[in-house]
Amino acid sequence: MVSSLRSLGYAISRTTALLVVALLILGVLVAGIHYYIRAPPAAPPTPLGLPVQKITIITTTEGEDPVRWAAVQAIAAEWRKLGFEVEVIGLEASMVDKKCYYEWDFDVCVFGWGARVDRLDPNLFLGLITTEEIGVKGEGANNPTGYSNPEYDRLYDLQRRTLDINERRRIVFEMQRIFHEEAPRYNIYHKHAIVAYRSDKWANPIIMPGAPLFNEWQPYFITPTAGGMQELIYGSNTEPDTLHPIKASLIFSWYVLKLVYDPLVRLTPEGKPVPWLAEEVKVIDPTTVEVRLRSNLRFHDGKPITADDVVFTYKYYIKHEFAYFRPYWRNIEDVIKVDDLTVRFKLKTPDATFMTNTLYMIPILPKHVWENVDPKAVTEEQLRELLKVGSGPFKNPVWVRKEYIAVEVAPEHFAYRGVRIGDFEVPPIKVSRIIIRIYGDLDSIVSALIRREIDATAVSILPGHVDVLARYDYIRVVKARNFALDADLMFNVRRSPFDIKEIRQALLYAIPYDHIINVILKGYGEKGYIIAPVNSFWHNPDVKTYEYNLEKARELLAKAGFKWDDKGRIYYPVGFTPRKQEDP
Amino acid sequence: MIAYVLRKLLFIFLLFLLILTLQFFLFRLAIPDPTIIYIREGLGPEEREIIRRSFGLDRPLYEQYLRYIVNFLRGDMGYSFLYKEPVSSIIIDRLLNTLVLTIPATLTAFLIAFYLGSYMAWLRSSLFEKAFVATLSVVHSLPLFWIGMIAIAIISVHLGLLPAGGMRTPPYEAESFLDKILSFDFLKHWILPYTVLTIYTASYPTLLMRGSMISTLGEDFITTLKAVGFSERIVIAKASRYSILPLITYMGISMGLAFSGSVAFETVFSWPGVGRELVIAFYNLDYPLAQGVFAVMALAIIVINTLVDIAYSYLDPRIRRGTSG
Repeated sequence: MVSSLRSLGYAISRTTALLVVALLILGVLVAGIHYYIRAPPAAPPTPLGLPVQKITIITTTEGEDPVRWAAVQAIAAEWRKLGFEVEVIGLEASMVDKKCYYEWDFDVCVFGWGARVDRLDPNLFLGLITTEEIGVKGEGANNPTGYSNPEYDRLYDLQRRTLDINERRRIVFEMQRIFHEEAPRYNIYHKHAIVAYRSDKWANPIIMPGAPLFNEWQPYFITPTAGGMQELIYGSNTEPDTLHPIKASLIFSWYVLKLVYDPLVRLTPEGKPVPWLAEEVKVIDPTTVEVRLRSNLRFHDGKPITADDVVFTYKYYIKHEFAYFRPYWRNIEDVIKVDDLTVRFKLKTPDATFMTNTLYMIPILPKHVWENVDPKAVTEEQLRELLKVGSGPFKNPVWVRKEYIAVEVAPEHFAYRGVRIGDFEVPPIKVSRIIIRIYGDLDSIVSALIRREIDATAVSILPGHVDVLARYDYIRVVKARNFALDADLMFNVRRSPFDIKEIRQALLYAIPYDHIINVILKGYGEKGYIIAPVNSFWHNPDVKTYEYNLEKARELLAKAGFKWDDKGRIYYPVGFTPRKQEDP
Repeated sequence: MIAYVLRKLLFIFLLFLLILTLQFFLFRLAIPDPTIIYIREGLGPEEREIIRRSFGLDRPLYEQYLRYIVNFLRGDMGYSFLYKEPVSSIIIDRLLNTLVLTIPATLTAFLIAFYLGSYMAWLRSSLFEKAFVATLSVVHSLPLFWIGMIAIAIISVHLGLLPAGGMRTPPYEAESFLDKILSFDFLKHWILPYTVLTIYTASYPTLLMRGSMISTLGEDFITTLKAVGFSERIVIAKASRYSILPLITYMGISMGLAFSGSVAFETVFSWPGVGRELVIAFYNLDYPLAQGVFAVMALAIIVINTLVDIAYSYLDPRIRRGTSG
């Protein structure tokens, strides 16, 4: 019994051994044939330069922005097909900022720039590749790519001091052409915002880029289906940091404050500046701008709005060094009262953004209320009193944190019954009160909309919500285009091979744009530009864009003298010494 | 005994100081520069430097630490980076919102746990007991926020019976916190999260009570009581009193946690509580606020556990003898 078991054991091991040997022989045979077929038919070896070093892409983590993360992974996969060795590193946002903007320690960096209404003016985005914005290492200026182009710099300065808007537009168009052609940085896509509102209660909402439903023009344009005046209730999952006009430092806070306080100029939904509290804005000379106020203006306490209030407000912001507004006030040399309704601004340098940014962003505060207030020592109760005297179309803001914000319409406001400014027609207000309810998350906002607790979403919801909401006939979902730079890809041109224009272009031809937009963004996005198409006044529709085309990419690389070995790995041209960055 | 209490107080104080120190350095390690959130807002380095200066972040670290400890012990938790307001006023406001939900829910839950748990042990291996053990195990193993979402989906969205979230229907004006919660509207908003939280909180201690009660019922004195001829009600009452100890321990922890609120739960119900504030504080790198919330949580847990220790010694004389002797 025992011996028969043992012989069975031998039998098994003998069979196994035979099998292993057979497999081995087969393997060698297959490998040999494979090698024979694949081996190049004795081509003379082409001389190769140095191998192109590994490309490291730094971007934010998947948690911070899943779309950007997936897009960067897709880009890396395509670049590998070109023979590059690519590694993607996801870092927490502050680390990305430190590595890329402060330390310039990157090959390729993918980050982003948010949409804020004043950024409809092209000045900031076009400034991202100027020599001035390279600044000094460790100070974090806006152009960490290191790209410098004297012609581009000249045009940038020119557009900034060109106060004729159409002439400036022409320069801005030319700059976009250079930006896309030279491509030291390139925005891959613009995400769409998805918003929804109750179409049984409201009709004809105005959809603005960057702030689709919740924006300063909505109370004028949205119409109650039942007629008359109605309460407009928004749902949001974010809320202001504070409503203190000398502390508020979030976009959302200023969306609310812009209802309570009026600036001298507002931007139309197309992004064009129109005089608002101002009757007229006159350019006396390139550094002097004169603003004449409307004569029928009143604060919410009935006192008239005069030149004194304008002078006071601007000086107040400058005196208290309000950081959030610094880009707007730092170019102001002086503010002088000419007469009761006229104010003269002296600027340090000529500045075309003075109209679209400074006059638009800074709200006019009542001098008689704020004059003796130390903004740093204001308590919550005091603030509530201070906010009661505003200059805007809505008044008496009430805010219970994490619950709601409410403002009621101010019938004494000059635009209450509508107003006509040039060819821009502002209809009468049809909203008696605006309430913003604060919810914990986006799902709760969607539930509240279905339950008719709210009329509209103040923030963007997710693609997944669209199907849910489609089941309700009283809800309309709107896809809104945006102008944020959602995936701002930067090349470090201090390092090879990114110092060669053709290589940057080749890498941009190897980005799967359609895949990113249709699959990763699920169709809720569009191809990226530096000045987005939705910013229609400033966008140049004729700029060069990049399509996904690996052949073209290879062609460009070959034309630049790059070669591949038989494993497909890419090499520099013979005799080329790659630049290694550091010590500029 | 006085020496014991003093020693205990000193220990609490030192422990609290340690927690403050730890969180001060941990947050600074994790968030070297809180003004990073203003990058999203497009502020440049110079603007951010002004903000850093205004919060005293340009001072040397040891100076910031000393100020923080001294101020904290005086009850000043500093200024919130995000809200630009004193942290203490933000926390008190939000903490009341949380407690108005968590304290009643915890108390009800433990009351249910005590009675239901005892009763289940008494009716051991009946269909009633089996059904409840299964249900409670399932409830306990589900995530709280998910139960909340399902409750909202069914009761609020589908049936439309109760509001889907929030504390009151805006716009409302309330003079004080009491004024805010003494209204029918508040009750309508409160009842659903309260019920869900109670059921969830009750699930584990009920099973705990049942287990403890089962082992008590096996004791000799129960057999004696039954043999002497005491009624069923009296036997259950006696047995449950002896089985309450594990429940009390667990209640101490639960009460402490009640002060922190539940992040996901408050988010789902849009409840303006301290848990939601904590998430927002993290998201906005607002560490003064996060530190304040943590300090309050830590203090609540330390104090309640000390109270539980004391309660213990009354309920179980063996412990009293152990500590004083």
